[in-house]
Amino acid sequence: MRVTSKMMQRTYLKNVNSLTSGTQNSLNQLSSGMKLFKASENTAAAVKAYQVRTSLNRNEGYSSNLSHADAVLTSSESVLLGVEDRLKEAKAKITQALNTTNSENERATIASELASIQDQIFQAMNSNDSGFYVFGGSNTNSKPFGTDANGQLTYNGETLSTLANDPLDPTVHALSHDALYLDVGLAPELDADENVISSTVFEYSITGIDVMGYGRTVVTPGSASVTAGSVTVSGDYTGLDDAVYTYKTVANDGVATDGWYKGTDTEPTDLSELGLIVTGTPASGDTIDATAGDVVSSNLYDVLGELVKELTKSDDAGSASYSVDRAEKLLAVFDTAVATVTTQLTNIGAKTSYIEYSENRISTLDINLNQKQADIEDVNYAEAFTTFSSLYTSYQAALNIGSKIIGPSLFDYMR
Amino acid sequence: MGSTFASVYMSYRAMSAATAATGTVGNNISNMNTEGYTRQKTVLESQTLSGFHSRYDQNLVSTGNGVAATTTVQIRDTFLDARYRAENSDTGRFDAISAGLTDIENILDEISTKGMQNQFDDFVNQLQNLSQHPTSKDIALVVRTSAQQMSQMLNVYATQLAQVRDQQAYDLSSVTIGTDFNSTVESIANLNGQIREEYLYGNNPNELIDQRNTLIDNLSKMANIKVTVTADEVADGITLEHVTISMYDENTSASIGLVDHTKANTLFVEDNGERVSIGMDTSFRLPNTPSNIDYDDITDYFTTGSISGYLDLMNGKGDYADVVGGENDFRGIQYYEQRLDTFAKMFAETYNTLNSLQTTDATEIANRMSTMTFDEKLALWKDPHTTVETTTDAAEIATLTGSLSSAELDAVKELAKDYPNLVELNSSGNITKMPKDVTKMTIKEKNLFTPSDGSAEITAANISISTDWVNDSLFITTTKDITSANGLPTLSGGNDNVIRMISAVSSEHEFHTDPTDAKTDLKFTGTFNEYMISMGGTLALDVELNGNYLETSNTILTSLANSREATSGVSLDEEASNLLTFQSAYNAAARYFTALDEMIDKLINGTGLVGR
Repeated sequence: MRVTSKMMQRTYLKNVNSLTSGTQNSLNQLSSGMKLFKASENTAAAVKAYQVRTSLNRNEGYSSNLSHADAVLTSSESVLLGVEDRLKEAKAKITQALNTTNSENERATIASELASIQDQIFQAMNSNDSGFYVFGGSNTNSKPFGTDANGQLTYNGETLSTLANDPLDPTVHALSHDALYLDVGLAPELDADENVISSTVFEYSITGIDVMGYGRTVVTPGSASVTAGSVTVSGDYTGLDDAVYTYKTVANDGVATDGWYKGTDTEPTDLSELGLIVTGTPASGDTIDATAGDVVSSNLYDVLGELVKELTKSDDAGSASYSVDRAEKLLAVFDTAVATVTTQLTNIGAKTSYIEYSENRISTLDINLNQKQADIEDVNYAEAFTTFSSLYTSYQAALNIGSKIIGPSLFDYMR
Repeated sequence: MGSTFASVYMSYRAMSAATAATGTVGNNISNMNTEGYTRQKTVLESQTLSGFHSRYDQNLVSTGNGVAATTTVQIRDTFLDARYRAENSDTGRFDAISAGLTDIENILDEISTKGMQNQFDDFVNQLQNLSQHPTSKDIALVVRTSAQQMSQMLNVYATQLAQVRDQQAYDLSSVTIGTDFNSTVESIANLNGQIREEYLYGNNPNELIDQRNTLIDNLSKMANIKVTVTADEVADGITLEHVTISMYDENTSASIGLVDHTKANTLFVEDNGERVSIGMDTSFRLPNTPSNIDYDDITDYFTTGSISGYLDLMNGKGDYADVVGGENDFRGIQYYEQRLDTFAKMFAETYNTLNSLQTTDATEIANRMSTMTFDEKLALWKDPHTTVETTTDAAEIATLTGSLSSAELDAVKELAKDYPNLVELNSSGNITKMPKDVTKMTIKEKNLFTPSDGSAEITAANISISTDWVNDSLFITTTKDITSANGLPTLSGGNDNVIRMISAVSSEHEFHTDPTDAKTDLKFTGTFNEYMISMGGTLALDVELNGNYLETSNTILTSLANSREATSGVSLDEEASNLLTFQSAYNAAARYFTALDEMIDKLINGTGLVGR
């Protein structure tokens, strides 16, 4: 085959060019520390790199959420620990007050101390952590606790004593489950109604209603007497007022309804809701005369209020005078309420340890991901430098022979 | 014996042939670096005595009559030319595609720059922050800024892709076709005329042929050309070559002429903003050109060469092409534009819907539906966020269909195909199930993203955050429990809707050709991130693939160029040895002349002087 100088030159240039671009790429890698500059250089690695980057970015969000939850829980915990201390103090005071040797005045002093503890607890539960109220559930903007016209504790506008004792009651359920949630990497999902499935997110708030308690407790049951008829009434009457219920027929909106009516009510009363169980067949005109029992609000604030009221009563005011017996019963209600606070503190402990676990999980994941990212995106200097050296040697060799290629021809040897 | 001076002339002819051959060597050496130059060779022929013999001639010993340089020929292999040009077309195509795709990659690639994926990740993290402080105006502002940056980034992508397209269109119409291609075919036609004239004058236009070959090589880089040489009988017994260059379609065997001897057809480019087509101004038509050809649009005849590369880049719609309708399915600029548009639309639609409130209030729904057109009602039924109650009761169906026009009835029946949850038909095509009531609907009045140019559809080019959101950073709905069924107080601090928005990040979406219409083709199923990764991956693979094609093609081209060079190139060693040979031949002829001179001198001056 004929080989012309132009062919040699062309091949030489092509090879030198490929060496130069190889050397340049190698130099770029070494000087930047990056293995890839364009996805097309290694598509598979690039796709992996994108995925790793996204995971790392997501973890950043999860970490931030976890530390936020941790901060809120820590702040809730310290508030509740303070409340618990106050409650211990209150318990000691009450026990002291129940000592029968105490005079009216001594009781009044203790009562005023209790009133101040009651107020401190109220303030504590309304505490605000960097702009939001920690115990308000999703109501983070305004103080969750207040008092109604009767001085009863309200939570997010609902008077706690008027709520049913049943945790499954819709209002109670809504209030105690109205919490704050965060995505901590469990991939939040929605149910068919597009509500967030709570097991896929982390609930980090403690709702005030769960701390303070709700509903009412019967201190002394009421009683009911029946007039005429074959009706028997049993059970505790826990209604808040004395009342006479008459069995009659009332036409309302053209519909006649049989039932027990209180006074001039147009709607019948469901006696079972009041704790009265009626057996037998009532006849029209039968009446039940109910006498109210002693029912107090179960929540911590109201119970303390009730104790303060009881302790300030005078010793000789007839039926309105101080009763050690009642105070002791109220103390039992108070003890039950204190137990809820302790439960919530345990609850916070459980949540905090979950956060710790998650933070560990995420930081381990981060280490792995960073390692993976380094493997994909970062230059292995030993390897890169070896490549560079061998390329550079080839390049120098190529330059060295370059001058010889367009070298002699027969002309150089003709005389 | 022969005439006295015959040998003198033989010697003269030998010297003159050696001079001519030496001249060719000189010409070869001079042009060794000239682009397109073909090595030449002087053809030497030995001369014999011929012609009329005298009847009185005696039988002589035939000595021949020396040498003559008859012509100068080019050493060239036409088969190699054809192969070189075919490969050159491929190289041209991959060169154009590779350059164009690299331009797109420079815009969309995120390996060494922070792009869309990074911005999306940022948006998600800002949403996580918002879920921590759902009522904070400042954090909502940061979320908005992040969303705004994302929409601006999409705008920038769209603009840059449009710029790449403009650049490609300019390169194609003004440079490649407007200048290179058209001037090349015209020059070739001119040269054809000159070459024939030279032949007619009896000249040997080797240099003009070199020029023509170089031009044809250039042409082959731009298009899939085929060169045919036939013979024209210009006068009795005189045939001269007739060069035809055409574009040949292998599938239909149809040819479109580009150059026919001295006539040339030039191209022009039509760009309607979406599709770029190529037409031809014709001055002739080849016999095997199909008669029904539309010379205003011969776009599809370009299969290789840089022009086809440009066309694919600009017209290629990839998956989105209507192949049956003749659209180009190369993954070009329009493909990536469409993918970005789909992303933008899907993203906007998802977050607009999430931001919108839903109502289950019967009066509210009745009010809203009473003002809807039939088409709007159809769209509402199809919306996956709507809860529709259907009826299978014949009497109810009769009442419902009674109020519909026949066109509307057909539209309802049409739903049975894709929405069997809404409408069912029996075997005779009558409705057995259809929507009766809507019990939950989305009130689409709280859009986070709107088109900035007032058009109906969101695209990557026009996506922007809505004026409402610009005016109030808390326009983003953080909780949907604002009104609750049991009359609970307003709890505005909830973050349930932010969590819904975060959940939309990790959940899979169905990306249809039109993301808002589930009836159009399903192109991709996955999360937003996966969609972006898949787009980047597709692009990277295409760049890699076409880069490899280009490299392979270049290697083949280089080896073919070397083969051509091996045949037609000037080798100095060879020329030097030729020079030596012809110089020696010249010297020898001169020496021969000296010998003859001495012989004649002997004859004239030394003959007949016996004894002097």
